[in-house]
Amino acid sequence: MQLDVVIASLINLLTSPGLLGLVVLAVPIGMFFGAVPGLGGKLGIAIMIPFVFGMDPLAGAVFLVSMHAVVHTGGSIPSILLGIPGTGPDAATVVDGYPMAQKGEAGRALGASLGASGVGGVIGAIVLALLLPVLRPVVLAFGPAEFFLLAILGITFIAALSGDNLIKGLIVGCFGLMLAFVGLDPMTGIARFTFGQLFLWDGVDVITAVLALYAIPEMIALGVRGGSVSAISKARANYGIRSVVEGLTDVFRHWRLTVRTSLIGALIGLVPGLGGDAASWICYGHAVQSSRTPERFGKGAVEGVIAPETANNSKEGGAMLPTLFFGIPGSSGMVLLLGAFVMLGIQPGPQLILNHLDLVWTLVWALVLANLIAVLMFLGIARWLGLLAFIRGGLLVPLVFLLAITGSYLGSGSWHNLILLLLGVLGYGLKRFDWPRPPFVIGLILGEIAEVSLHKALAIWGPAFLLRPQALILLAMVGASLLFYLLRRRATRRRS
Amino acid sequence: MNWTKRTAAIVCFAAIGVAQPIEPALAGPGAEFFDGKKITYIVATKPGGGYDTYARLIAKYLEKHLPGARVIVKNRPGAGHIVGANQLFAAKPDGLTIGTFNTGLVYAQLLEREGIRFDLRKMSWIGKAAADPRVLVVGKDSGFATFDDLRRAERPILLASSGIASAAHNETILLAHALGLDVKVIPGHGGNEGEMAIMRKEIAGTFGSYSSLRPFVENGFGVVIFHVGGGPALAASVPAVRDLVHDDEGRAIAALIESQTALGRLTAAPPGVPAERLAALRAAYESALEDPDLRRDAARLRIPIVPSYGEDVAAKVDAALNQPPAIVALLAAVMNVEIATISVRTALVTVAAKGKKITFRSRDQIIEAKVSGSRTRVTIAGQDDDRANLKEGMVCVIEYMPGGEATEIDCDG
Amino acid sequence: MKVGGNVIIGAVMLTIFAGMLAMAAQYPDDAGFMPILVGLSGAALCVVQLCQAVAADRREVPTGGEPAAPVPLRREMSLLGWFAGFIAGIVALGFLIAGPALVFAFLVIDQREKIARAAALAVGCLAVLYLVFEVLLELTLFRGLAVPLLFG
Repeated sequence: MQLDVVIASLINLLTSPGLLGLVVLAVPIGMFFGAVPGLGGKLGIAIMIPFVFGMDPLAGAVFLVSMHAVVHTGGSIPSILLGIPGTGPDAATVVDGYPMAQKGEAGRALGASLGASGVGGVIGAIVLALLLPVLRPVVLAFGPAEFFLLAILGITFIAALSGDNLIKGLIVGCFGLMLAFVGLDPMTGIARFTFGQLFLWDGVDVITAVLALYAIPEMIALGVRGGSVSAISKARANYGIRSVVEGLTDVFRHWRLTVRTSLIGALIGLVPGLGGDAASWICYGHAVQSSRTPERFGKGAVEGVIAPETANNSKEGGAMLPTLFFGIPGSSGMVLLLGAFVMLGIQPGPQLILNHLDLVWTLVWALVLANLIAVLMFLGIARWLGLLAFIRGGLLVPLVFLLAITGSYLGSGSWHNLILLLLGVLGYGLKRFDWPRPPFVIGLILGEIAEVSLHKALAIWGPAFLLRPQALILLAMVGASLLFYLLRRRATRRRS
Repeated sequence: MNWTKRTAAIVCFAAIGVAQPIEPALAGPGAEFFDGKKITYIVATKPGGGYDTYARLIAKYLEKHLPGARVIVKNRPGAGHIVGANQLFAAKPDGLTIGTFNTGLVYAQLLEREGIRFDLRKMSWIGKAAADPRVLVVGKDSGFATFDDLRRAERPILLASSGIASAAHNETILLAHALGLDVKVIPGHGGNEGEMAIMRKEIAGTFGSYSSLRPFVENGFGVVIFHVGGGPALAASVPAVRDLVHDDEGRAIAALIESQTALGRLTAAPPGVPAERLAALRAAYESALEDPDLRRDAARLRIPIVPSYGEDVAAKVDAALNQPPAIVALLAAVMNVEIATISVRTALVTVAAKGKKITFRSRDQIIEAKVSGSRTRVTIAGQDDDRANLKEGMVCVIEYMPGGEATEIDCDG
Repeated sequence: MKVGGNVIIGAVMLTIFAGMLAMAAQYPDDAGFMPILVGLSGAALCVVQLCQAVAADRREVPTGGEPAAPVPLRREMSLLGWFAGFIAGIVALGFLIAGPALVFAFLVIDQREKIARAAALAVGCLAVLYLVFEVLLELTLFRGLAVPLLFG
């Protein structure tokens, strides 16, 4: 690693008013796109492409990367305050973030999310930088066999996330998996579960499903209950700058978890094919599993906010690696970023290291900088955002309905998806009778990868694919994870 | 600036200044209709992809060459371009809607896939913007370096494709058949996953668009074995598929895929657009693609422009859709698609092997079909009969599977 | 009520799995493999869960009464109805018309909000929808199925 290039590109970035200005401009735009459901990252980048088109390649790339890096930071705002995920991965933040707002701890949740995003993004960038030399062997070690097992590993987290309701959790998880199979199967060309409707050929839209399962039930519950999001009155609650800072320090108080989930997120983003969307859920599951008091989760545990938020941002750093060096996008957002890079005249590939190392490092620094600026900007508005939790629920309900429907339409691009939103009725039923909902999202996200990888692995190696060394390691991890969960359950049972 | 440069500059500016007023005159009578109107340009993909880029670029210059018109790009993704194509076909044919979609939909139409509500033969073709040569690339460590290596392979060659419904998958199977290669295609490799699989040595290679595989090859990870339609861009040592096939069926397949490569980035309007307006659209499209500013923008975007216009495109699409039934049957077998039997009233040309094989004319071709003793229902003069009693010259209504066997033969006697 | 609910949801889930299994059985081998595997697992789990729920139901009845305050069913149905109405309205008339109209309707009818305030909020919605999405981002919001019929 040539240290001089590293330092030089940082100085270049910091001293160039044009580039700095672009980063500063990109951050609020990215956060805005993350905050409005359905606009999330991908559509945002797509919208920005015409604007960036005429720019100098470095400037354009810096702008897009900065914008993309902070999408999830913005996405945590509606997740925490209203229980509406801005994008699929943000739903993981809802599970504990929204209950925190309901307990009157909205400020603390926002602060934790903020700090976690910032730290996660920085660590992701560092991972990106450190792994540059060993990129190829790491990425090439993961093939369909490993993806299948990684997906299974993710699905075993369903058990962890279901708390006491294991069976209900598994049922909901299976339901998510079944919905993942809806669409045109690439392996056989058969349109499955589509009822002859073209819009279902591409599968169930994740944003619509997540909105149906989280946003709608929460709003209905709010409407039924009356009052505001926060069950505690403003006077007794903590929403000022002090609580935000408390959340920030929480991130450092749980520094081991923070670092672990950042690393996991970066690694998941690094391996193209797993789909970075799963990262936040996997890290959330990890937080639950590694906690001594897992029963607090789902009711407003701050670790439940920290884990997914670090992962959301660190995975972007990890995902840039295969995107830049193999031209293979590491996450769904990277797909568009890649297109934009090519349009800007940046040709991804190994020659990027050889000829344009300065560009790569500038992008790394831009990632870091964008995350830090996001933290600062967010801090400025956080305390006012927290007030949202105290607005009368009755006013919020119709607005949120409208916002969710808009988000579903924008995210999927088709009005037919709005019919899918009626899943929200089922979502309300699940919430009402204590059926866990996170397993559904995991099943939906990981189902496709699991199935396609399985078929691919079988086609290439036959059932012997399970005997590959990496596969065996992962199998052991799956076994360990299940064992761990069962032992833990027995321990808590014995205690109570 | 010395005087030669200054003069050159003045000449340039003058030329541009003079050139401007000429353009509206070139536009012709139909063009007045578009003054002050909004044209919707449907793109059958999400924003940010290749089709989207071409469309936005062309939209910008269409506006320039259709004075007074505004061209708005609308993305209508879904079902592998089928949603967008359906919407285009169903749009009002007033000339205010045009669209672009994947040429691969030709395969979808050939196979009469469900969900298709368009007929490419009837579209009002405006033009196409690029050529899309395809190549077969194998990994540099795959153990294959030339076509002969593939021919001599002892085990099935593993190739990656993005999905069974994709055009590339169809073409891979067709080519394997045409070239006599033992190939196993593994779908599920979307985007550049195929290249990753090659690098991991799980897969030997993949067949696809040269523009997307080029970086892979230039970075040294892969080697081009043969190409379809990609003469100028590749080394002379890389053979064209056309030179590697050895029979009529192979040549037909090579011709089909070559025609596909020629028709890249199509633009069309729904059927029934008034002739004047279609002519104006075609003229504007042509001016747009010939515009040096567009060429310059395209070069900056690194997208090649190899245009073709109007009737030329229509003729090529028609040709692509006229495929011998054997090829349609081959495609159908690959895609798990059931194709309809064809029914025709005609005279039997030959009857061989005691009625086990017959030939007859159908759709301007001589068709050979098998007659099964158990499955084919044979009736002569209204009575159930045996295939051995079929005679040349008998006039019958024959129902048959393309490339396969007859299901029913009902002869006059 | 809570326990009865478990039975309802369990039954709904079982129906869904059964329906999807029936569809999956018709797909060729490869395509049907995973759906059948997951569907059977899900259905089996549903059966187990239903048994547990029914058993718990039976146990509760003798003790009678509920610890928590009963949730008003009518209110729930009303809100679910509004939600369905929002979807129907927007599908029929599009975001720009149905959105603000429904927001206004909900505020006035359900929340008994003052007309002026509700109207202000509705207009605000319209402004945001139009300015942010249509003008700034140049995205077309759905116009509604019925609009072309009504307005040509």
